[in-house]
Amino acid sequence: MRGTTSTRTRPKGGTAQTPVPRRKRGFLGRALDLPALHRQQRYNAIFFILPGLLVYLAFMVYPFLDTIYLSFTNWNGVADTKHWVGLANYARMFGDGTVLKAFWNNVIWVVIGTISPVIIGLLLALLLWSGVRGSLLFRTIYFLPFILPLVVVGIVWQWIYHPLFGVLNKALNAVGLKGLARGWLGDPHTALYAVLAAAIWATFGFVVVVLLAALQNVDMSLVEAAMIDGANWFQRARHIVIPQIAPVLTMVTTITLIGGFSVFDIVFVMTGGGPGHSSEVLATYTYKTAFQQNEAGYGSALSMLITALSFVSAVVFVRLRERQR
Amino acid sequence: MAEVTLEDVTKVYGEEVVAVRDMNLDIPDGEFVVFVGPSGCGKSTALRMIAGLEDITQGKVFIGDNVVNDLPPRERDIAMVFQNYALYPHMNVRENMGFALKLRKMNKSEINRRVEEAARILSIERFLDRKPKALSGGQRQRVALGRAIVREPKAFLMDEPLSNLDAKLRVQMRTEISKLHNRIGTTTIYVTHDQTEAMTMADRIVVLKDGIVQQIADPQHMYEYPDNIFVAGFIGSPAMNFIRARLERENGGHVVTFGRTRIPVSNEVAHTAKERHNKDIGEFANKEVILGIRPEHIEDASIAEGMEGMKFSDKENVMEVDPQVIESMGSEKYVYFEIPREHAAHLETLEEMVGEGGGDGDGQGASPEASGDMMVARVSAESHAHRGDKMRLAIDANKIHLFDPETEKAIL
Repeated sequence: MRGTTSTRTRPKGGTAQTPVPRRKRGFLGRALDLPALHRQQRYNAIFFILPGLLVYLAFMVYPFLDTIYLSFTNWNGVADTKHWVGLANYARMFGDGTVLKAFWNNVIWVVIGTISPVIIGLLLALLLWSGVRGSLLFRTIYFLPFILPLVVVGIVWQWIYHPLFGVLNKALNAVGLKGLARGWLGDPHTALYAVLAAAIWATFGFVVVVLLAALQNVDMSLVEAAMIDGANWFQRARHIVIPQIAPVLTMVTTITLIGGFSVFDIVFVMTGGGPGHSSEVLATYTYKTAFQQNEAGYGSALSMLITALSFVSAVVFVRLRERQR
Repeated sequence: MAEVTLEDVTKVYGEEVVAVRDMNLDIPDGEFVVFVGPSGCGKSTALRMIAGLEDITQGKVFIGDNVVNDLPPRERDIAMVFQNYALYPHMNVRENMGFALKLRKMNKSEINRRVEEAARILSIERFLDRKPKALSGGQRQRVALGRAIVREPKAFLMDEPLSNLDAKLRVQMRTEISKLHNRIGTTTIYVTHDQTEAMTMADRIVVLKDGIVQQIADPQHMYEYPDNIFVAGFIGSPAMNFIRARLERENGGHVVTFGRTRIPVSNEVAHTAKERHNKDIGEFANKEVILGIRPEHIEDASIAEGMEGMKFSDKENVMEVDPQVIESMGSEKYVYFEIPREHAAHLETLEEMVGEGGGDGDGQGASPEASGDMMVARVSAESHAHRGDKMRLAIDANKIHLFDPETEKAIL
């Protein structure tokens, strides 16, 4: 009798009402441990995640971990045997002049290759947004290079830069600047910048389109308020519009920036890192080391360097941005 | 501070969408003018042309003695308050308020002085270092006002500044803006769709409809002598009742009749109306007219008979009605009743208003009743009006309005 009374007085669904002590849980823990999520739903979730997860594990996580392992060996890429060499590959990097050269080229690439398309893209996006006629046409034209594979861009620009038949030299001759004409990709002083120019041409359109999309969400009454407050075009852009699209601007910048340390295809197609190592970047050097010079161990270590640099630059940039906000 | 003048100002969008047509207006220095009308009437467009946010298709806008048609907003020296406040989200209150001054390269101590002075006037000193998103709607609106007053501009332009606030706060801010205007005295043009705001705040009201100015007058005049059916229906709350009636000649005078109700029009009243509207009501004898009666000019007949000084005593200007709904407001009662279909006005002008919902749901402006057969009387609280019990309502004959059904212009 007493038992029934106690059952009756207990509030219904008592377990749901008792406050669950908040434990610190990881993302996965939280996802799988939601109180509202029933056991069955949890299994369903795993079922749906599993295929993607397996692909990810097999083609991303395993190679990544394996590369870390290889970077501590002297494997030549084909042999059955490899020896553990500890940190030797990493130590070797510091003495390798080409690594330093490639690193600096990457820094140049990151700085110029990030800043230019973002600035060009931002200016063009702002101009188009301020009501230039034929905005759609321009948007399409600017975006076209971005949908070309970088390899195609590289080949096209190789022709533009061609010492004898290239449009660039012909144009320079035509306007009387013959002295400036040169073998752009063959000249160690210009090779890197010539490739960079082609890459910028291929990316700024992406920035334009993404920023234009962001600009559509700008609260026009803020712009009008600023006009009435006395701000000219430049001041409105700087004080009102850019702060409003800042998150998207950060995103595009980060995308271009992270790509900067891992750039490979366009350089490889246009100059292969040459002449000499004048346009060498870490990725092309890594490729050559690992697959042409059969030093897979050292190549793995180099690729770890690229990973670390990309990671650090992304983290630093996002943190900086967050602090600004 | 300066006067603002509009001369034949017209705004056409594209080829033929006329937003504002031939608007003429002279706003003396320091006046508080309210543009009011349903949405799409051109009131905001007119304001934005003055601000310089819209091009002027035709005509001239003067601020002070200068034609400002071709000046960008920043050279017009006006400040504007927006409906959504338009505070810069990434700046704190202090920076928001000082932004215009900073752009003018004013020195920091002067900016600070002005910002703090304005903050004190608006009692927002505590929030100076907060970002707008940490403020309530009312506080944000104060900041927006503050941003306008630190500029010490020639004129304030306000575009529905209170529409985003809840009803109670709106009433409070209404008073505050009026107080602010009394204190600073800057010429102010205020746009609203809420006739109550217009009535309570304006020195003069400009009623717009379909881009055309309907009437410009001070609130009391506009209430008492609306120029046409639209103004009559738009100004006043609850809205004026309209009835299809006939004007008949009787004993050398006139009488307005509908159903069994007969409202005499004294010769005296007819005479002043002729002077005011330039139209002799005699022209309408034996013709249909639109009779306009404000709810407050209808009283419970049993109470009216005891009152002195009101022309309720005549038994004729009484109608017997069947109350449908009775709303007790405490101080008075609203009696809603139907009139026979043949007398219902069913005016297009008024139906447009109804679509707008008048005053944002707080019972202001045109009510749905204005268009249908439903009428409303505002009777004394002592009235024993009861739903379902027939009652007699007396109409104050001195306060009726008559309109030409063709032109919709006032004739009485």
